[in-house]
Amino acid sequence: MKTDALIRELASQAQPVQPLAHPFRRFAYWFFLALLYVAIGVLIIGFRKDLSDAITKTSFLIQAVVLLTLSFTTSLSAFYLSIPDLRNQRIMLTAVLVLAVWLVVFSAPILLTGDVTVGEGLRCLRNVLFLGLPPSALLYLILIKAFPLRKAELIFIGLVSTFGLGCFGTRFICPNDDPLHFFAWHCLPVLLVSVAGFGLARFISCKQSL
Amino acid sequence: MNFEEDKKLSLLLIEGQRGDQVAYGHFLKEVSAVLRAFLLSRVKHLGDREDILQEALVAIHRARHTYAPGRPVGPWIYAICENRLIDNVRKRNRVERFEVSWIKDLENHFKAEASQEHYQLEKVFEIMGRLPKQQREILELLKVHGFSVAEVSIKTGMSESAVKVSAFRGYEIIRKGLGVKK
Repeated sequence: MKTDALIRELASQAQPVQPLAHPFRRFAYWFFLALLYVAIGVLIIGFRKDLSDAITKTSFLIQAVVLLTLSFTTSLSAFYLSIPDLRNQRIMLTAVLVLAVWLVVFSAPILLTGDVTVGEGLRCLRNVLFLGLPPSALLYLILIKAFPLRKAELIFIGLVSTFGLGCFGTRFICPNDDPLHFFAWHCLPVLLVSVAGFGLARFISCKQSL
Repeated sequence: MNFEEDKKLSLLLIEGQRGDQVAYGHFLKEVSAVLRAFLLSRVKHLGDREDILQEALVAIHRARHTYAPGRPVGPWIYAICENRLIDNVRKRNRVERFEVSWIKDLENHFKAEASQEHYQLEKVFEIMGRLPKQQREILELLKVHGFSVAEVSIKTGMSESAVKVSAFRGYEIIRKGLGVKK
């Protein structure tokens, strides 16, 4: 088809469209709903019995703040990344930085303490997934309405964000503070799910282009 | 693109978002001129350039709701076009890798059995003759007449991926018929 003919065809299909709201506004809407869901989820599953003691510990607070910041920055960058000309490098960089801090904060104690107790963690894994999946689905539905140019990267940071939130919620449920347990059953699933999502997206895009 | 041009395009796109087909048609025409210049230094082959331009125009059309009135339209257009360009290069590399490996297979086969060359070629055409009409036509257009996948897609009215799938299956049948292993 000639380009002029294509232009005529596209112009004839031009129905009124509603411009998308600003990414920050859409992000705020999603983040509020996701937090609400996680809060309700934690309430349903039940808080850890020693929560009143745990929240007085600096390590617990640092971990909670890092997890919340991780989810906040990665989901915000996902919203910006879904708009073609809004790939805000500063936000992306912050997200990568927080991701690195997250990995250091949760892996360093293992090296420092030499902890080797992983403990029972299937319930934690289930909780991370239970708290992370619905916000992931909602995030996907919101982001797909935009026009993401880098789908695999978007899926990676989206999954880090949502399952990071699940990890944050699980912190208020699981009483096991052993660093290795926390890394293996709370953090690793977040990384694995995100990397798997990234790989799957790349694989699908390769298949589609052949 | 200067400030005035950007503003003009922005106004046309805003009208297009409201459903004004005439303004939107003007917008796409102006954009195609801008993008042609953008692609000129990046893509040498005219046919490829037009393919990428068309893909970019379709992407711009699909993404038009993501343009926020008030923001400059240039970065938005260039981001989409650049993405289509990169995507196209990657796609081309993959297809070339795949097609080159197939051609190499055949070449190796023919070299190894030079004495049977005539017989083999006859066999290729014989196998092709047994293929369904549309599949045979696709292989002939691609390999005998040297048309690109995009051109074959237009000629046959099939999508590009359907052409590729049909050609791939045809290659497989020829391979099997010749006893060439992957």
